[in-house]
Amino acid sequence: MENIVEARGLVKIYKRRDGTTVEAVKGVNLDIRKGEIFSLLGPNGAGKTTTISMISGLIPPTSGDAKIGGYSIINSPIQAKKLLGVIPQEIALYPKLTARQNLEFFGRMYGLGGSVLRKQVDEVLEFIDLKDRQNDRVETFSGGMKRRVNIGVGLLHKPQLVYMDEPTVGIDPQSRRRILDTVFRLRDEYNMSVLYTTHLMEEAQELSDRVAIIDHGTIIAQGTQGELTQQVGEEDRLLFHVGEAVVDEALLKRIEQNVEGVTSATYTVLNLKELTASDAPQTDLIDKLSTGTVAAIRAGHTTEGLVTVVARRGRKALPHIINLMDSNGVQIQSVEVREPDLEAVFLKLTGRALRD
Amino acid sequence: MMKKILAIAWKDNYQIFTDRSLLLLMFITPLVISTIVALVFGGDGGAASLSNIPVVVVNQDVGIVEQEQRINYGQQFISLLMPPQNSDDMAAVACPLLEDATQNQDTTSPIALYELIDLTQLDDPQAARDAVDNGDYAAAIIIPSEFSQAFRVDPITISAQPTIQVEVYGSQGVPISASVVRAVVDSIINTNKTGSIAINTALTTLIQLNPAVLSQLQTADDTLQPIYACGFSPDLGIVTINQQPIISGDARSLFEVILLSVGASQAVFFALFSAQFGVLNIIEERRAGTLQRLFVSPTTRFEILTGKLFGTFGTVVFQLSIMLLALTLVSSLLTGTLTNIWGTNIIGIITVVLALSFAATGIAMLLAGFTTTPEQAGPIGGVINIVLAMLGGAFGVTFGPPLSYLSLIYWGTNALDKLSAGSTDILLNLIILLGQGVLFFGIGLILFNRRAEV
Ligand SMILES: Nc1ncnc2c1ncn2[C@@H]1O[C@H](COP(=O)(O)OP(=O)(O)OP(=O)(O)O)[C@@H](O)[C@H]1O
Ligand SMILES: [Mg+2]
Repeated sequence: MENIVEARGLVKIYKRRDGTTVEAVKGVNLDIRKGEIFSLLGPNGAGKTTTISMISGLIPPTSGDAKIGGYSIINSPIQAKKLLGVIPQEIALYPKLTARQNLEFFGRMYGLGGSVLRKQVDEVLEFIDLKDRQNDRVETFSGGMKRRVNIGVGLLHKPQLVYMDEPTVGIDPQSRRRILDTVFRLRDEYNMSVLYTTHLMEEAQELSDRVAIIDHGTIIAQGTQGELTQQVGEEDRLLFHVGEAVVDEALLKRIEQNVEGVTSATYTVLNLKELTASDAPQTDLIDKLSTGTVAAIRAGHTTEGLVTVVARRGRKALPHIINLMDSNGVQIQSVEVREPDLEAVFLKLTGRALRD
Repeated sequence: MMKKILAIAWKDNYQIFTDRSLLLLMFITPLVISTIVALVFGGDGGAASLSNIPVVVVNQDVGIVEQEQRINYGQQFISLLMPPQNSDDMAAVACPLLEDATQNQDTTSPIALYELIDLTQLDDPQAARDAVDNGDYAAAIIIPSEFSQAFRVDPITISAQPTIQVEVYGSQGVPISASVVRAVVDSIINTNKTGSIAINTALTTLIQLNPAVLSQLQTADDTLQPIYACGFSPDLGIVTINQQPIISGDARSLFEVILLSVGASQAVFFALFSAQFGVLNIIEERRAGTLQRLFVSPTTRFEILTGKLFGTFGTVVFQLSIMLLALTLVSSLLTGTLTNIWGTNIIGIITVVLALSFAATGIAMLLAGFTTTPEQAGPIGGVINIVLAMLGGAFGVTFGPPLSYLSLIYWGTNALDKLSAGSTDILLNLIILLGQGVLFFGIGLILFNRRAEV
């Protein structure tokens, strides 16, 4: 498949006012294929925005080059920029202009005019579902609506590549869902490539055809999700929610020794009271917890037993483990099978968790 | 390429001209100020037929201490009504700019107040009133004890001064003369106040534009205080009238001449703010992220910068043009006849407006070149504009050459004045305005490009 972006040896060294330097990006190579959703995943300060700012021609690289559709961002910036639609992290619109005026103005900056511009603006307004508010000033819009206009501006000229820099930071779950759906629609309905940066493993996992993981300015892994997770082996994690039942060491030993493919079995008790008393917003919490734990909280349990089994072929081992627990009088409330994920990849490559 | 430049210029202007508070600032405020000044200085041309009206004056003013100097505005007031040689001993207001101003002593005044009034000074107010009743005088002017106090402006709160009550005790026998005296007194008091009104309005406006100015003023009131002093120095106010150049065969009324010069200079003064607003908008857009958005679009740096400067230039041209039209309208309304105070040399007027707009945009570019944040640029720009306006005569105060030669306001107003009086001798004015523009633009662009990392 053809590449829409080829970045080679991108380096950015920032000079601070006090004379010291920061090497924010240290020789990044990226290949993004036509029509795919590509995520750049990395923790805060990893160099995502810097990388993407160089690819979009906003800041000049200290060294290296990036080609968009074959055009060098350094030698043919105008041609390269024509293929690129940028959706910045922060809302960048003129608040005193209406949604339509904002779209028309930026459309002109992409060389659109006349009936083509009108048609494109209409189409984008339809796409972001703001046709009925098109003649209202952007300053009167809600945060979610502004964000949609912000996205719309980047799509006006039907770019081949859309880049979105952490578009879901600090917004409510509903708007977030909407943005993720938009990303799929861009690929599936408009056949655009999407370069999506995020520090959230779940987003990268849900969206991407291919992923690059960046840490301290270096790409530490790049490929399809399958390719990446193979690096950590093919071990699945099985989570057994056992409610308030108690599991003893002997049973865990027996699971480890008797079931084929199992490498470890552990038992932990979650204190649900503590969990629910946490300061984190409820939606955020539920996001992080497994469905079994959420069910336990809803059922009013105060503690929740969890048996975690790591196994090479998890699905095959599952019935044997259930049998063993059943015959030892442990009642299983629910089971989850976790296949290897990007979080595990990051953990293995850096020794740190993505989310601190 | 041109399309994008125009789109950027149009977008900037659209944002400005749909902002109601900005419109108020751009048009209404300068219009009101210049009308007040013109009315005060040039409103009573018909009174000149009367002369040597016998008037008695009593000064009860206790005075104030300003800048470690005892000042008695009451005495200054009286000196305005006396022939010039009597005014040597009056306490001058500490206006540093005045020291360099060459005062033209020999110019003829259209209304020499001392010719109008034959003044006698007494100490006892009751005796003065009695003398009027006896028919010795047409009127008595009684200056109250808090007269000087009332002229004081508090630079921190910029509060309005209380109204000054100067009693004019008129004789029943000569009502016309008494009303003339009353008009003269009003006009002088208003003249004094106009200086401070003009400066106050400018500052209040500035503060509305950028609240950071207020704190700047509070820390900088040491430097601004003398400027205030200039603004409400009655001496300077009257000198302005005396210095109005009277071109022989000039059929224009004093009101028209003053409205023209003050109006034009006020228009330029406020246009300077618009120009700065426009150029500094680049910094604003960088903060909002829209400038970055422009930079990632297939638009060159040159197109973006040109578009913004062109837009600002357009704003200023538009503002000045509307102001000139509005001033002529005001003049027509107030004099009751349709007059064009700018004369009929349309091409000349357009050329001057373009040259002025170019110079004003250049000053703004210079400001954008050596400042980094709007917080920094706002107050500095404000002070620059006020100084240029003071030097150029926008507050009804004139310093004369060579100080006024520094200000584009002087050259612009002077050119418009010449055109209005039928002269076409404006080449030097145009050369200087364009030269200033080129110089400021050049330096500003070099400085701006040197550190414009997006
Ligand atoms: N203009 C700058 N000057 C100096 N250092 C900078 C500049 N911009 C970014 N950096 C530094 O470069 C590093 C990478 O920053 P970058 O914004 O690219 O990270 P990021 O992955 O986008 O992070 P986040 O998830 O927080 O947005 C950080 O250490 C940051 O402090
Ligand atoms: Mg970032």
